[in-house]
Amino acid sequence: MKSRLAISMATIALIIIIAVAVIAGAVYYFLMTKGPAEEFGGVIKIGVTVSLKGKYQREGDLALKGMQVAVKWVNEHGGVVVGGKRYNISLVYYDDESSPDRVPQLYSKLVEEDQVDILLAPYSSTLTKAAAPVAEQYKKVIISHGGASDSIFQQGYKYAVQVLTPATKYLRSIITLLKEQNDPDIKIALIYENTAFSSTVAKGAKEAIQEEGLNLVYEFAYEKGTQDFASIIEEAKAAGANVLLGGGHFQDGVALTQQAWQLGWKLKAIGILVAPTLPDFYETLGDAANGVMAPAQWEIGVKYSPEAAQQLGIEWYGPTNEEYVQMFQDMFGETPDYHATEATAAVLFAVKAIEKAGSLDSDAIRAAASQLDIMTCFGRIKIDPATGIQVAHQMVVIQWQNGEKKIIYPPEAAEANPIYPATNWWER
Amino acid sequence: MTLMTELLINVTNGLLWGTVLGAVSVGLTLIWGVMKVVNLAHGESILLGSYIVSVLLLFMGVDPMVGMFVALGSGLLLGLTIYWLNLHKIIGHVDVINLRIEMSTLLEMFAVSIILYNLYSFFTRSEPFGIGIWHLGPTSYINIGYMSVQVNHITAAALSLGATFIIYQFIAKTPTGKAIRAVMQDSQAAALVGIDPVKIKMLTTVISIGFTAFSGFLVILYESAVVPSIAYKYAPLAFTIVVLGGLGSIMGSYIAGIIIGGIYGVSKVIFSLLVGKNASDPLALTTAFVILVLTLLFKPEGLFGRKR
Repeated sequence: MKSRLAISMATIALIIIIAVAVIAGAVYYFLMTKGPAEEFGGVIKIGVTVSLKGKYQREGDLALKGMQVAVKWVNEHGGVVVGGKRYNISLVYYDDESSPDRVPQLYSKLVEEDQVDILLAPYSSTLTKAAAPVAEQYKKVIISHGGASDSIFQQGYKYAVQVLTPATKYLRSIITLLKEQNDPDIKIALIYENTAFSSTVAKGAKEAIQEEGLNLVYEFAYEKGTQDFASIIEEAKAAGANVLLGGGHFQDGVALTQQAWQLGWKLKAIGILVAPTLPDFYETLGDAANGVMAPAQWEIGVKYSPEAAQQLGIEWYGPTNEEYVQMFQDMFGETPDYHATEATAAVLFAVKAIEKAGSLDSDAIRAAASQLDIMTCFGRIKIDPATGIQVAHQMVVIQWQNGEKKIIYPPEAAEANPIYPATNWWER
Repeated sequence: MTLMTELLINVTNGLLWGTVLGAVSVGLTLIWGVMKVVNLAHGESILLGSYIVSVLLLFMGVDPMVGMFVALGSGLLLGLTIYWLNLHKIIGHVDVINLRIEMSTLLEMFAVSIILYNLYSFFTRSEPFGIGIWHLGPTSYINIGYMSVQVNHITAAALSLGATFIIYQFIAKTPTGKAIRAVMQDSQAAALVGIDPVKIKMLTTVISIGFTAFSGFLVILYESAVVPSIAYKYAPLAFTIVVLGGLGSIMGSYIAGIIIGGIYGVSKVIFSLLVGKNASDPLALTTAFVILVLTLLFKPEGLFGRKR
């Protein structure tokens, strides 16, 4: 009898100990995740227009989803602490129908009626150019996530800031990568579409080539719609070029690469805008696609991480890359692309700037934004204090390697080593 | 936000926008009322002023308060060109404008519209052109209690009132203005008493397009930035307002503009209650055109027009 009593006493004691441990653990966990209990201050409103109809429908839809993921993550991770009070963030958005003539009034409405605290720009440089002056008149900080044009930031706007790499730096990563190969025999041909965007990219590329002390031997700006590059390629070959940089949109990018291949142009490296980032590029070109590089704002496999941030001595903020992709898939059943991720980054940057400012005053937020240097799943973000243009975010470089698109640059994001020179193009 | 505040904000905004709409319609009511020229290039004439002001500011640093006079001047020139190139042969020496003549001028103006639209698209690459951070005075917006208002919107309203007052006085008091009204009422009778109808028709075109280009400055003040397609937002509204105000009546058009602005503000609130904030904007604009249909049905001469 005694022993049975002892056993049941021991069992009860054990149960009590386990129960206490579980409760203590739960309380501890609860306290840890909740953090120090700040008083709830309310909701900080972020205003934006997104293109849910028209030309930018696809990009607009992805951008909105990216923002929603960021809002959810921030609110689940304690929101924003401003002046000792904890705030949640919320998104106020309208559909701008991809039309620049609807943007100004909608932004006025966001400030006047919805009294938002900070603004995000719409997708595309064109729409951003229509929104920025309104933000300026109302003195609201506006964060550009889809406007790569440098000219937005050359108009003296005080409240416009940018999280994505500006157009002039699109090819800079590839040029830096070329420089790092320590190859004395690099002769670059720059062949690009004569449109506002591609010309700006080319202008920046020329500056970068000069800065890195590389050799530009041929340059040509072809008109929009060009499909026959034979004579241009022959000229470039005659000039002795062994590296091809340029392109414009999908069609011409594919045609340029294809004809360079078929005309037997021996190249050490090929860097083409836009086209190679799409899976269709490999499907169309097959083996000719291998070795081709392209710049991208972001790619799904990037390896930005809190550890990489630590190595650079800067702060990490937001979900990790895996966490981000997972959240996006759980919420919307699809994978994010760069249109979504740059929008996510804009929200995270807004939150960080507000937190650092410790106030909702636009001038304080803008001043705080100047001092931020953070890394997110989108990469490193730091703006030029005077103009608001992005200075730290680097284009990642992808390269087709045996039919697979691999991220090869910058080192903190890379998943594979660059193949240089591109064997199939150079040794044929 | 309470419903009351929302209503106040929207009505304030609507009325401010209404003054711009009013000024935009004054030029149209003149050319349409006096000469029966259905100016399909009205939207593009507005844009001329917007672009002149913007380009002068962005590329030459000319203050828009000076630029608006250049806009007015270039509008007068455009008016002169349009009259001699497109209109004179058709309406210069006819006393009674019949349907066939009206259709010819309509087609002429349609051509002008397309030419100008494509020129704008070509030269601006359809990118927004604006006045950026420019504003009058030390601050860019003021707080009036329930909302903040852009100083530019107030400037636009004040300039619109002033300019419309001046052109109204011109038409009502000066001999030229009286001659314009005489031609509007009866071209043949006006000629009999010694008024040169050709001179008056040319003057009316020039003044009408000039004032329209000036109103383009008010549009860019209101919108901050313009793209070519903004012509298709303002021109149809101007036509509605002219019909509502009564063809040829300057005061009528101006007041009708403010009324349309006010109705837009109120219907925005109503529609946002009915269908949600996101969809309220386009629906509220539709209201303006419902009013056009109702006006034509029940009061075809407009609020301030003469019965014919």
